[in-house]
Amino acid sequence: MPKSLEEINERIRDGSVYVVTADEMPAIVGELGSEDAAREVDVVTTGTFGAMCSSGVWMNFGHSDPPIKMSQVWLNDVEAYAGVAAVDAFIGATQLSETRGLEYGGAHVIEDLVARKEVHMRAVGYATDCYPRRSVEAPISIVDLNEATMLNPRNAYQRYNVATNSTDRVLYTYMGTLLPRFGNATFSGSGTLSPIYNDPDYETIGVGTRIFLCGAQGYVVGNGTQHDPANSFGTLMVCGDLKAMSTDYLRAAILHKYGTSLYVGIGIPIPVLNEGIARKTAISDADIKTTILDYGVGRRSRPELKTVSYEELKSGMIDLNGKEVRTSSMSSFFKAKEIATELAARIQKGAFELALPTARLPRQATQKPMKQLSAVPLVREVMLPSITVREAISVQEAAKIIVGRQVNHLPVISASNKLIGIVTAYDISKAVALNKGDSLKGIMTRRVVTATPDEPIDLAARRLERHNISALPVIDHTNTVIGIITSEDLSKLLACR
Amino acid sequence: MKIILKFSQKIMQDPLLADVVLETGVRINIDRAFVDPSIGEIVIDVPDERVEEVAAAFRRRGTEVREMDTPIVFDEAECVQCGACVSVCPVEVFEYKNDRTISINLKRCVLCKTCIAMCPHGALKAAEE
Ligand code: SF4
Ligand code: SF4
Repeated sequence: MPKSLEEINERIRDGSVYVVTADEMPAIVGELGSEDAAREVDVVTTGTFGAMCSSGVWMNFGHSDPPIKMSQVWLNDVEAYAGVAAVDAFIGATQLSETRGLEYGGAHVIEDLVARKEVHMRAVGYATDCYPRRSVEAPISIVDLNEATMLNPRNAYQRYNVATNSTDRVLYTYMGTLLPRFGNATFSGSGTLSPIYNDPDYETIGVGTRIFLCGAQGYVVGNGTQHDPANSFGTLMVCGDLKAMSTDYLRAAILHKYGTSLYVGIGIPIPVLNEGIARKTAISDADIKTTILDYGVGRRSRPELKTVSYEELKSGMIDLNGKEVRTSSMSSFFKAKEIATELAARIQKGAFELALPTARLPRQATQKPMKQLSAVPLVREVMLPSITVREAISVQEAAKIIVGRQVNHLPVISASNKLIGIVTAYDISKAVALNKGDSLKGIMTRRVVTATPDEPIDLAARRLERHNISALPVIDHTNTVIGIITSEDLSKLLACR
Repeated sequence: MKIILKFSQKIMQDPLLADVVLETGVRINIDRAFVDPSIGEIVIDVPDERVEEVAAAFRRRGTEVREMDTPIVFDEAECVQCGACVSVCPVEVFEYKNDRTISINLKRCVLCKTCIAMCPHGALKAAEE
């Protein structure tokens, strides 16, 4: 028999409400069946605690005397967006400090404010008749702000991809350190506790749903950006009063060589209004599947390697092409559970009532990629023909080619035309100066860093930069040199984009 | 017990480890070695009861010796129990417990410092820093 939300709130008020956390539901429904479970359980609480880069805070500083219309404002040297009225600004979690770089960002400012620490505010503006002042500086703390409202454009991802790395080098990503040759895999999301997975049809999570946000009561504003419910990548935009938040559920983070992010704690209560809702909240880690992607490929569409369940991911080990790969979570399941438990306790003692959405969220929207005016050119479109040489030729002959053809790099190929090394003008002149080496064999570099014809030039440019070299032979899948791409040509191209 | 050895360029050419093994007869296990043009750093594992003796032998040869009883300092207040550190440690210092908190067994640590960079919350630091 269906229940109304009013009945549930009545039970919250009189203390008779029965609340459980979402990870307990699979067993409850398994034991009682969904009909009896719906009768017994009134509210299921969910939780998640992980890096949510798309987060930030709207602040109002109040007016100075004489007043200023801030056009730029910094908090501890982290710029906040001030292009709204005179003394409002939005500080985003991933904006970096202009003095401390990757070590400190908007997320840290937000955590410092919540921790009741003072931050240094500095602002500039252009003078007007009504706002004559041009600059202002002051130490401020959260109590000095008129409002501090967290407004996160994209939080609570329903699930997330798993990251791994096929390349030979360590990658530092927003999914953490990825060790070479599938050395590990990282994932994110709370699985059975995932708010949206427990209400996949958005029956109770919608505009205006009251939620737990970093310790405060917050609300769902609407769908998050990049909301993709059709592919089980739903997201939420949420808001809440920063002044009521706690650092127990909100933490700044640094992702090594990537930047800053904010760990946000969200708990969403799901009223068990009917049997269908009870059944859906019985979703377990084994039911929730996600895809392992190769972050070694720096393209929008990363190769999909395998589908796994959160149960497998949480076991600490997954099987990838017959290799055991260790997994770890970037988000904290422990904290997610703590949040679901805390929310359940607040509901149980009457401190948190439920609200039904005033409008439903889109259930079909899908996402399109960025509209780019021009596609990034591919290596094949910009590479130049390469002059190649055989390793048997003398240093003298190679020197002649370099001077005569005015090139700096000579890829060296085998008898079957495969790339086996490279020599540069510098290698040659060194060999000449030292009077060493009859053939190229002894002086060529054998581990050649290469490019492929179908990759965007930005990837080739990043590779040149990383290895601190100035040219990449372009090879096809048979390791045959089909061209060359040099940093000189690339920088000309990239500069006029 | 693990010991960290630091030696300067001057003595890098000497067969230090071999000499100490021959002199003391202790079977030394090399956990990790790092050498760049200016400094060398080696982490070795030595049976607890022979540590003093081995350390003295290295010191006599001009090596800086430090026992690694706390190689990594763990700041529990900063830790959010995510487990990001779990999959990157080569010697499985970190493990998920049943309640999804993290157990830490620093005895095994070879001070590769991978976990320090991985931890999003700055909860892990090298003791020497
Ligand atoms: S430094 Fe960290 S990752 Fe490396 S061995 Fe020690 S605990 Fe493991
Ligand atoms: S990565 Fe850091 S915060 Fe996460 S469990 Fe390990 S020590 Fe704790």
